[in-house]
Amino acid sequence: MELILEGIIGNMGKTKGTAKVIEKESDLDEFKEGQILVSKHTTPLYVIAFGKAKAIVTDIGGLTAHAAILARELGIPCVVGTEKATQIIKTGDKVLVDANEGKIYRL
Amino acid sequence: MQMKEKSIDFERCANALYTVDKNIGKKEIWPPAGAKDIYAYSSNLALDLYGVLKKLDEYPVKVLADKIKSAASLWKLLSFSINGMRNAHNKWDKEKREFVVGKILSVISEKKETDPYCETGENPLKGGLSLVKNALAEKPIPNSHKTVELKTSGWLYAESIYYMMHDLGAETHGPYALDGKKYLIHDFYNLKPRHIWPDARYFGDLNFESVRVVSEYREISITFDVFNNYHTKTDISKPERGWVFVDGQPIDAEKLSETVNLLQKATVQAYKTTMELSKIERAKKNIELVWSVTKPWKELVKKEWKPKNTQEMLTSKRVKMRYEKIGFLKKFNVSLDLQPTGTEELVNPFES
Repeated sequence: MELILEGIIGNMGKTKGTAKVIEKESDLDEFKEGQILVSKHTTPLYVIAFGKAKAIVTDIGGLTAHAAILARELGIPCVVGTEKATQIIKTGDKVLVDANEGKIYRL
Repeated sequence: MQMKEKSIDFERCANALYTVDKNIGKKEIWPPAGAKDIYAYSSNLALDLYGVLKKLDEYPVKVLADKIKSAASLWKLLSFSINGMRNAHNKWDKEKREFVVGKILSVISEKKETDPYCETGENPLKGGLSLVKNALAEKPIPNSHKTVELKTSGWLYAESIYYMMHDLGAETHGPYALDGKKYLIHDFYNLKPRHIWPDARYFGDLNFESVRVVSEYREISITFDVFNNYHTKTDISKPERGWVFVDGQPIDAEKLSETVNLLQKATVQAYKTTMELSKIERAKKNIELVWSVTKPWKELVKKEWKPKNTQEMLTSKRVKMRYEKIGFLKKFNVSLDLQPTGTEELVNPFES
């Protein structure tokens, strides 16, 4: 298990799963239930994907970013402000999101 | 309500806003492009606001407060205004600044049941407990992920039509204590603001104007900042019971699912329609949305109610020329009088 990223805790929790990196809007159509949502930031267009996500990781944002607010509602782990999640994580990577510590590990 | 001692209020106001800004962190503001120009036109907006507040000076603060739905929208207006006054590079004298900030704060004071300057407090609203009692008289909705999805969808929809002023269409409030339980309420309202979006495409197939979700917890620890962002370590996604009202009427599980779907589709539709706008059109819409906070006061004075200075600036396309990236993360500095310097001290921007 390799520590690959650190960020701000958007919502506490810990889970592992398969990452899906959202680089363009059409990627959202392919987002599957239980995947880890990884993106630069989020917009209202993510509305359907949020409900399917097991955890959220973003490049930018703080405690009041969309991702953090919605993760609290959904009760899923969330780490924001990692700066380079979309560069380090690739779609299909198995990752552990430890939002209790604000750390992301590659499995 | 009498205003508290001014110097204390202003300092706490500055600190409350600073705390919010600090928590925002590095962020791309919705909608992309256009929105960050808020820093450029905020000085003109502050000037327009000054004019409006002067016209309203003869009206009791309570009258002004009763017309505003959410205190968070006033805090945002205040935040833009303070940044605007900073952008004006000391062209505002102390008296004018204190008038604008003091007036808005006094309206917020009148609105709020709790301490309006407390950036870490709870957010119970006047009459909130009666909303809980009304809910308890109805049959609760079966707990499901759809209830949670409804809250996230409602919030995102509000953001998609009100941009960063989403509190014009959403407010979370509470917790309210009753018979050993705690209750949190998510209110989504003004969901079809046709005066802002005459283009009906923005609302998709929405056939309702408001949604209320009442959630019951055994215990909940939650605090709100002045922008109505909440902070909690409680898992609020699993309430013991919940009630959902659409346009004031309780709904069942089947209707819940339909409501979520309608909100999600409308959110996507609103996003796509916004992205068809040019950068300058989005900037204009941003101003219109920020300015709409003051709209309920229009009927009092029955006069022209447009932010003229700001609109003229946008029309003359001076947005880029005037753009200065003054981050919210900068703190107030007394000696430079509202100019951001990045000092680590929390200080009163109004002390000379």
